[in-house]
Amino acid sequence: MPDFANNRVLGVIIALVITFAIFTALVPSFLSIANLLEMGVQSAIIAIIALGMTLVIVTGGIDLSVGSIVGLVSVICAANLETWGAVPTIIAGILLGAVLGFVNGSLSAVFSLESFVVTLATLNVYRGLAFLYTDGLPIFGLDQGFRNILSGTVGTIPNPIVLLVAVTVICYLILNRSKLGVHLKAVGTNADASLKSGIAVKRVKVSAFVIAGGLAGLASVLLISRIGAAEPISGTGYELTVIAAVVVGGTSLMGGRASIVGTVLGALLLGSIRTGLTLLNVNPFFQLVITGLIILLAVLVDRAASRTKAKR
Amino acid sequence: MAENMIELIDVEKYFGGVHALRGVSMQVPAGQVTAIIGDNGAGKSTLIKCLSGIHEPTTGQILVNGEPASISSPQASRDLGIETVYQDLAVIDTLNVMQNLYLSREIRTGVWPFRLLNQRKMKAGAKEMLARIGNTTLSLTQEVGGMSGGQRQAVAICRAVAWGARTVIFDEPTAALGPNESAEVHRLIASLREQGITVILISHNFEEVMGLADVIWVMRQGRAIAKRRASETTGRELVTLLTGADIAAS
Repeated sequence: MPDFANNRVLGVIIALVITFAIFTALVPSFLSIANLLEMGVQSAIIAIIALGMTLVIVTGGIDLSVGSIVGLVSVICAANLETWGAVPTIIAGILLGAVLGFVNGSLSAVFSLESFVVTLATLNVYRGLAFLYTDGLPIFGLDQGFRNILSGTVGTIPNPIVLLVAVTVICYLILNRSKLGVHLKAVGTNADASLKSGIAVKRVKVSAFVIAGGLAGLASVLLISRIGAAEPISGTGYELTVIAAVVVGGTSLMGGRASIVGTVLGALLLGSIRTGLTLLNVNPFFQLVITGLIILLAVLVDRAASRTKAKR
Repeated sequence: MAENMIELIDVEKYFGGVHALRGVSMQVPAGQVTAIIGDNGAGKSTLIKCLSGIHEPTTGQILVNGEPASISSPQASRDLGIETVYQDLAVIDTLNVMQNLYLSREIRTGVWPFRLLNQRKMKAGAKEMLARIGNTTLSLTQEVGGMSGGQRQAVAICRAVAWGARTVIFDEPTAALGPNESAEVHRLIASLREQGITVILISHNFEEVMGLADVIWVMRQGRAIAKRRASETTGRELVTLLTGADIAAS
């Protein structure tokens, strides 16, 4: 498995290099430090959610509700920021996300429902709750101290990028160096055999959703600190961008195989393409088409790779 | 140690309206090989699953080593010293040999929540496990999905016997194997018996059963209908019992 994952990661790296070369040739400022950091910051929110999504997808599940979790956590944190204070709000955001993830996982495990269906339902429920919570209104004027914590820098590196690196390392250790990681892969490969082997299959699945929810919560506080406001529609459509990043990064939607590094690179690839096309003043509608084609290409490459593997 | 490692007393199992086990009483003598034979649907698999914690009996009692036991999960079964080698092997294709051998028994180092796998210890332990069943050809880091049927079987059996099991259940262990690989499995079962481990063998293969078993139980339509010592029966008698044809008439 490691060689397969590495091959796939290599593919994403090559795609990134080609993308960077093309955009730098067309817009020299693309490769400036300022632009690279900006792309990193922009991609960080999607990448952090995508890392949690990777852990869900490796179990053979999916979480369609992450965008709505971002919406709900955003408005609750923004509304209570003044009373809770900056750091407690950040912690509350992560915990709140984890609770919403726990609801997803438990519903799916207890009633033996496909996570696709459960999270399709909670996608609507959480979004609705976000609207109800603020009466549909946005919340403006978030405390600058709070914004500085998340949007400041360590040296010249913006905090969101530092956070992304930390989350990547943690997720890498979970997937590849921990007992939970082995069990996540086992459950995604063969749930029946996992159960027979003594794995607490339901608990493992719920754990993945809790982590995914918690990371979506973290992404929410990053988001509101960045824009200084929260709206109940925040995060709409994130689930699709996030799943795209995971798939482009080489994780199989069938479960059982995943690459943490690939997911981050996938998010960066999609982010850099978006930034590059914007710098080139390409019509945003056309950007969507290109993003879609890249996802299609990634899936085709995946299939070709697994076929050659099967032949070996 | 009790005379019987496992004893079932009047075990019944319903799946909704389906009456899969109809009052099965059976003794599995300690340190011997007990074979269970029966047609498809006779209840062999259901019975095995009651012992390995996949199903719980609706009514009836299971004694393990003379003590009443409640086997509510695969883990509970393992805790009682019972390991099962399933027909579909229950190995994980995307994990390597070492990860499969240690599945749900991973060795970790560090303090919560920073407990990581101890690869070094598991590698050494896995090597030892393979050596104990006389297999040193498997590579620990090879993914199980890419291995042959016999190799996968070796991993499954190795995992079952490596953890100090006192009883090992084999569910059709050679059904999907070629002659050489089957012979290897037979050698392994015989060596388990020599080590004093109780073996339960589910099989369709009469030759295998007659060659390996001490005691043979025949199941039909959810009942254990006959018990024979392998040394005192014939394949012909077993067929008769299995199919329900009248012995007197033949």
